[in-house]
Amino acid sequence: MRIVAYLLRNPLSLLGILVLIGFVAVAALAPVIAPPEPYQTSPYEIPRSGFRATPQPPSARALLGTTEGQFDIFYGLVWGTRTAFKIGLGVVLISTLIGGVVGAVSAFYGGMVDEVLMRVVDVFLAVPFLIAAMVLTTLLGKGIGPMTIALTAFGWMNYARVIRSEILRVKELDYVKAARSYGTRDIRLLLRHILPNAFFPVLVLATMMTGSMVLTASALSFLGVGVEPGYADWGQLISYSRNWIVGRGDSPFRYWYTLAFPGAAIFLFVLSWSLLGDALRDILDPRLRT
Amino acid sequence: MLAYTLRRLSFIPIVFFALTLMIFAMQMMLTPTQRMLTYVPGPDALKGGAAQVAALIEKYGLNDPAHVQYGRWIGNILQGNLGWSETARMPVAEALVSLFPATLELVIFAFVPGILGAIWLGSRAGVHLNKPIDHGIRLFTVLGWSFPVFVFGLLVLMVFYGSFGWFPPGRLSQWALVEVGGDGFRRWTGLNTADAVLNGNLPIFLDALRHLVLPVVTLSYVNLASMTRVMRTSMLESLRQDYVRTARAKGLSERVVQSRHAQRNALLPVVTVAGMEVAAMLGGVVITETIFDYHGIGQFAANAAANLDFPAVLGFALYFALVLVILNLIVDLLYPLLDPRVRLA
Amino acid sequence: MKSWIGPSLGIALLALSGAAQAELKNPGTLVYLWTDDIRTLDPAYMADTANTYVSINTYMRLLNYKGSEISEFVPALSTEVPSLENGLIKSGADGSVTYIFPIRKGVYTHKVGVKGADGAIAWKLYDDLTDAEKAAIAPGYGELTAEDVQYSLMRAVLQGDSFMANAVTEMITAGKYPDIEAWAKDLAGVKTFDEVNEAGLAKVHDALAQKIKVDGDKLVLVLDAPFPATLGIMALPFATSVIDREWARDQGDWDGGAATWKPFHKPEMGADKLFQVENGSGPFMVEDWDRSQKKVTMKRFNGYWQGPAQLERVVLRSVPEWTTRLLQLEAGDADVVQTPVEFLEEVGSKPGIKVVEGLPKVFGRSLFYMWPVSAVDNPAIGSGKLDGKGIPPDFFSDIDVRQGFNYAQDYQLLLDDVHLGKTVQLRGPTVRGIMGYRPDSPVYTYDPEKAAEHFKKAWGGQLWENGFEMTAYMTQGRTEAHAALSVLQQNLARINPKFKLKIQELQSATFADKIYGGGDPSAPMAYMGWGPDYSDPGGPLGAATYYLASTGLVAGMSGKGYQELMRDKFDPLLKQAWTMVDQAEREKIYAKLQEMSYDYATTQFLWEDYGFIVTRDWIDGYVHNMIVYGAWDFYPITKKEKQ
Repeated sequence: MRIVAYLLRNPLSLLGILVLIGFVAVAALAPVIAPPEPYQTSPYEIPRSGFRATPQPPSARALLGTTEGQFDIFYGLVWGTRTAFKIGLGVVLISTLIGGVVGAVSAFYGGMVDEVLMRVVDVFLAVPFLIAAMVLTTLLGKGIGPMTIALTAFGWMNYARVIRSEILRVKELDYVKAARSYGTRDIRLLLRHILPNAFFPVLVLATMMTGSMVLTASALSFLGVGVEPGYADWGQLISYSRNWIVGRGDSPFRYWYTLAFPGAAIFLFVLSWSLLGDALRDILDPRLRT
Repeated sequence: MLAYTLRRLSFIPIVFFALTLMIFAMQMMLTPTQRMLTYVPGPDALKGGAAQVAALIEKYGLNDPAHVQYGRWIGNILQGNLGWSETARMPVAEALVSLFPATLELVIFAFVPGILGAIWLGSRAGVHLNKPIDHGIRLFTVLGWSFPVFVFGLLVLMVFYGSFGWFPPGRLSQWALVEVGGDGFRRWTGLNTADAVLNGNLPIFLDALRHLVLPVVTLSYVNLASMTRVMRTSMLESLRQDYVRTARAKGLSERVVQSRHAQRNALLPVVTVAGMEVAAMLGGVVITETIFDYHGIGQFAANAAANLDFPAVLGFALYFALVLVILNLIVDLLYPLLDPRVRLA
Repeated sequence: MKSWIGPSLGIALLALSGAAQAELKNPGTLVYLWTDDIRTLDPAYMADTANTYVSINTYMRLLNYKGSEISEFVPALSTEVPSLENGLIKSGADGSVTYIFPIRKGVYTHKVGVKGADGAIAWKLYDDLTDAEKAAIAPGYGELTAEDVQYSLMRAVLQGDSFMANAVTEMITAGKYPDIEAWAKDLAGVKTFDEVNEAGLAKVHDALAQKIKVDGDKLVLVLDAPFPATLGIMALPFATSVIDREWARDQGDWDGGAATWKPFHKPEMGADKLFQVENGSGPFMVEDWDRSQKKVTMKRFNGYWQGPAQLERVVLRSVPEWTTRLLQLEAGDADVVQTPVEFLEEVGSKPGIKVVEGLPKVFGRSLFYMWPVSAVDNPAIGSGKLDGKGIPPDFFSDIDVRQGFNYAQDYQLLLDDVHLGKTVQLRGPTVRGIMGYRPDSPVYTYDPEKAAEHFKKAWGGQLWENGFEMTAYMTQGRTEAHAALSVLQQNLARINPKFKLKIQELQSATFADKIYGGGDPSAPMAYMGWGPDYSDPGGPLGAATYYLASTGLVAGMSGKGYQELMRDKFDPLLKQAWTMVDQAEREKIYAKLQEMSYDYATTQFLWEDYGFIVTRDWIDGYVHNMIVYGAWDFYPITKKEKQ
């Protein structure tokens, strides 16, 4: 099998996939690894052992310590895995759908339709992303839903472009022209012949973006628009470390755990998706085969 | 080429119009009371209660029908009046003009090391595919990409300012601010370094440079990571091309093959991405600006967005669209220089 | 990247030892870093505390507060503080009260009008004038006179934009009119302000001029009825600041004419002629207001009547990131920084840094109950019924519900953990220092049993049976608010798992909409704070009135049910206290009102706001006054190396 052979030759990619499987496991087993407290209204609320601002170091009660406001870091990381997948996959899937439809229609019908749709894409691309996301989340309120909407609304364009350029390429291939000459209907042509072949670059893009969505979400949390306070989200955990990076006068890295653990989670998540993306591209793209 | 340029530039009015519609639509998602809030310091200042709220809504015409409000808005814009920014306390156009030089200065200084470093690192990684140096560079890029900007910024601030006192935050020291505001200093461009040179003032030039170090390092580090990725991929692709094989077969030294043939052609995608990066940076880098006490367009825009100051948000969006179109144009005009096979459509 | 953190840790630790011992930088200049931003330089237009940092120092008023006192005054532009004893307050037989302010001579503004050789008058800096030029100062163009004071007060009232300007209107009319528009409409007999024609404008102007008069070198205020907070308002650094009439006119502002004031009424921020220019007579002048850098630079005015200040310059700069502010303080690049409370201990222990704590504020924070709330499409009340999935719109009309909620809050925990023991529980509408406050008045404490008792009685037992679900609102970014609501949420769930309180953070505009948008409030419960602007608890703007009058601000936003309760039980006493003259008797009534706010559980009072300042130890001279919310008066401040 080509895939197994590739993985054995590229230990980094293998590592990426294993880490990703690890994350999936943590997300699936979250209620077991970090069971919510009985009085919580939602398992995504990180339990807090008080209200003092100063973070506490790892202890028996809080395995990885607490961050500003006494939120349990371990719990936040575990349930944050679910949030990371939700945001990453959610945004990517919806963006792919929207972008896919727009790109496919645009490429397939060409002409005026293509011109207009691509202008629309250009307009959306001209919107300053962070600012638009901020405005949207300010309007819609904090939470994972509004954030997903904001990220999707201003993120689908790249998918449209990629799908369009791929379809344009595949459209000219001989076997597609042949199928057309047989009189195959448009939809059938699109679905059975074109899309399966145009799909791969989108897949690569999607895997890369899944990781990066988490980063963008954390930037939004830093800017004050994002999820509700105390929600299990890695980006939120990291933004809680903001005032504690400087530490105390006598020990500058005293609160390292508020940064190190969420930071490591984000880094590993992004890395594993990125390695997966690289691997997919290497496997699927015929042009890059050595 | 002129025709091509003009055609691209003619797109700008369409984008502008569409942006105004989009932002206006977002604005109309709010109730009049919510929109009124931009005109007061905060809910605490609404001591006049419901009566004051009603009076403010009346004053700014927030209850008028949507098309009337839009008409008023767009009418002003077409006359060149971008409106008043409540968050910046000045006309939107003035805010953009006064804040642009600060951001520009930052971008210029951050971009150059970024792109040069990326080209070099990306080529190294591509050439030594799957060897330790490649793995190292790949890890570095992902780390750079996923390391939150504010953490990096705060760390360098803590070490190089807090501990060593070498590179302070802000744009200028207090004494320099007084001198720059005084009569002996003439403002030409708004960029502190450039103006200091034009005024022949060495101490201020050095002071401005000192203040630029940390934000520039932070910014270029982020760009470096993402541009290196692209360069690497692109280098890999270019190294597999037939003409590279031909060059090798001709007996050219590996160095020449890499730098003159493979690398030059690998630059295309990097230039595209670089163009986008510059545009993004000119769009303001909020987090860097916040941490380093560097008031630029990013902070202005973020402030406006958070406070729903729509004239400012729109003004910024228009500015950003303009920057994007111009930069994309420059990138497209550069293509033929890098790859003679590409012709402008 | 992470690999070089190790070695740099070592270097940092080494270098850190020398960190906060920086020597005094920028001698003569005080650098103040905060997160605020001023909105205008026009003192009549100003509406928030941050702005007063500029107006207190650049403009003079007739009176000043005496040090930290909130009910005692010292003369400023007026040579004496009017009182019954010195005859400068006179009670008329018709119930009117007259205040007389003799105006001080020799008080110049920062820029004066100098008559040039060609007869034209040019505005020049007083400090830069030669003696010859000083002699050529055109009369009325430099020295402040009673006419200038009259103009300033009238201009503020007629501009009528900020809340504080309208407070002057309320004072002048002894509470009869809340703002100039109401007055104009009443005099002209029309329904809307736009219908007032030129004659009507002149009429209200003249009526106003009857109340603010000039008598030689004295300014005379004539009020139709007593308004005890008058002197307090005159000393506040807002609309009662004194502007030079000729200078304002030359800037294009109102010329003082009877019918020409309408264009200057409620101008937009940028259209206000005095928006970005300043010409006061205070110890500092605005050297530069850089709005793109969010920086205000004030320079010493050497011609100040009490002598020049010690500091040469004061720079106010907005720096949103706390760590950046802290590092600048440690390096000596900043002298005073705004500090979040959780870092107080740590900052105070650093060498070279001084923390002054325990500064009281008149501001209190509470959870407000509102009823009845709007029942249409209201997500906050869920199903709108007491079926466990919502609350009825008048949920809080039942006193047992309110008392249950009040017993369910753990006030001490909040005071200890969130405020680190630095403040006290809010006992009612009046705080420490305001008349009617008693340190031993009854307050609620955390008592889950009592809470359960009340909940079981509430709504005929239905509440306990079925439970409830509702949403409480707060503005985003306030950790202490979130803490207060979280504690309440958890405690309620512990008392009865069917009690579900949800917390929703909203952006300010959205929050304001929930409170003020529409007839009935949308929020059944919200976290907010209120603070009075003068020390008397009575009158239209006093603390007791805010919370407990049916026409007060809290009632205005809390729904008709709340208003009815206030009208019934509290209004009569409030009216009584306001019209009394015997202070001791008044005090008793306000104390009783405080107790009643406990008895009727009108609000869940949480804590008093508190202040502290964090400076380098070479800064001295700060005087805290809670009625101006701790705004810095930079005149007595010194910056000297500590020996």
